[in-house]
Amino acid sequence: MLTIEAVTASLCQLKVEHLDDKQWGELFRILRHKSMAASYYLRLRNAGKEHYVPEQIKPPFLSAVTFSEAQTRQVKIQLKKLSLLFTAHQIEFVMLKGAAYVAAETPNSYGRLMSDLDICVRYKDLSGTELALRNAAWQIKELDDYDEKFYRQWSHEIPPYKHPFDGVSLDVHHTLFPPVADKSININQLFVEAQCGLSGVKYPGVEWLVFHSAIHLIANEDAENGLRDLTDIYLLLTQYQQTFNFERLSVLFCESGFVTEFRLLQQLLLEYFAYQLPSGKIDTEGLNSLWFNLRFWAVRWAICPASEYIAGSHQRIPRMFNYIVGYSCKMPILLLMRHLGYKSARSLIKFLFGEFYFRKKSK
Amino acid sequence: MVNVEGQLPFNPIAPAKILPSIEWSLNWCVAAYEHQKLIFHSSVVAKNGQAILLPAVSGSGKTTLATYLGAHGWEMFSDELAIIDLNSNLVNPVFRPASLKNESIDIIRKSCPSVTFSDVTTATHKGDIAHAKLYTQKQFRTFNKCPVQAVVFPKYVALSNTRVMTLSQAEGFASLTRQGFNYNVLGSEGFNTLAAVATSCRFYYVEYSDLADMSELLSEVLADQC
Repeated sequence: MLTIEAVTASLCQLKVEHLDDKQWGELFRILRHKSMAASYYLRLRNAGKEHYVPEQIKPPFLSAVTFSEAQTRQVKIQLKKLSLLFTAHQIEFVMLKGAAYVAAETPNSYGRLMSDLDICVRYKDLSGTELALRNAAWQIKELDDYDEKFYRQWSHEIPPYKHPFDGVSLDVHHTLFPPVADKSININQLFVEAQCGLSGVKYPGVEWLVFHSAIHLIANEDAENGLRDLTDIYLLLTQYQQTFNFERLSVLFCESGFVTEFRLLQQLLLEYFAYQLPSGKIDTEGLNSLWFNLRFWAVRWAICPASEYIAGSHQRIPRMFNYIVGYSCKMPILLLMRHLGYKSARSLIKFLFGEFYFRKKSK
Repeated sequence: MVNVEGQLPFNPIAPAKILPSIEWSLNWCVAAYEHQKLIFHSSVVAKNGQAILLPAVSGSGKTTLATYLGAHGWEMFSDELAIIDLNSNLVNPVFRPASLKNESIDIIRKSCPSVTFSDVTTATHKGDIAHAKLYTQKQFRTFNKCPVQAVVFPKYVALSNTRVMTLSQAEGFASLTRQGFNYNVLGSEGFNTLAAVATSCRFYYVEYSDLADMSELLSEVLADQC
């Protein structure tokens, strides 16, 4: 079983020289569970450390790379289709997250898997966007009444879509943070600073890519793919280091009210990647406060993969704490209590009647 | 409950009925994780270093046919998965029992007395399931990967006479792509491998009800007499 320190060193910092065959097997299983096997192998290859991978582990790594290449091909086709669709409807859009990395061909896009595509449109274009998607056979994913209300009223305002033939899921955003939160992000600036990528599709500037990924990672209840997102951020920061505008990045965090999240990001990068993110315009006040340290403790554990191959990694208390704090960043307190009440009731039903109570019966 | 590296691919099931779920999970692992080889939903049998693929959808009788053949002079490479090496285009033998369903269990019990059976797992979502072991590990090790000589799409039709139709290589190629587990994942490598297999073998569609008759027919196919 690997220690947390061994995972940080080998998985994040690519210190793999001393891993034995058993540890490689465990590391591979952790990576595959987190959909990071392909991107990790390509990072090793770029670092000239591919030869440390034992021969028996190479085929599954290469299989993961092949699978990721297939997904990238599919994403590129979708970028082209979306570009044609929205151009025809005169709707301006910017790809976000994984699809944006593919559109921009950023170094972290190679081998990176994603579960859906994310796009951002202007608020005024929301109804036109839905119309365009429905005309192109996209369908709203099946949701229960509560989840539909959650999306319509409190989140993106449009529920996720799925294409019945391509099998692709699409999340439509008009903001990078829920409108019911007490923070707001200047989306107009996102569009102004967007750049043109594959198939003429727009993607956020690299500072925006880092900013959005960090918000999604830290001011969010779901850190399931946290290590993948933190790796994205690290690769964007280091591989664009020559041209990256660190001051602009700090201003984005500052102006949107995410100063604490910026400081947490700094600590996470230091902890996992031994990387010192320049502070830009943000000072180091508050680093010693109890609240900051509680949040860091929680998010640090939430990001660490919970795995039977990592000693002591399950840590339910900090993960739960991070879950609640993440939700509280996104919702007013009354709504949060109502939402958590609903989620708790659902969890209780699952606990009493089984994990699969809400899963449809297999045919 | 079957847990594969944190994923739960199947609904939970009573411990007494776990064996079929383990087998399906093994198939799931191959389909989800193995992308260094081209994989089809197909039985595979071989004789004299030449293989025949028997691709078909569930319920077409391919497992029954492959198990019968495996107990009657053929090498059963697999009842479920054709695993083909990229570049060399050779098909691999897979050491695993055949998964028989419902009436097939008794058909094989009666026609293949040398086969060892597991207990029958009743009332799964696919019906009753029993696993049939044809070979010891020592016997299996004598099997070698080999080229595909023919592809036969079998269809069991009760009480029918054996009826053979020849398919063009283009028809065969197109039909095989529909049975691919990872054909779309492999991209150009998958296309090139399948194209090489398709251009070097013959394709047939066969309706049958008599297993012994099918064994003779397939021998003729291998001998290029069909």
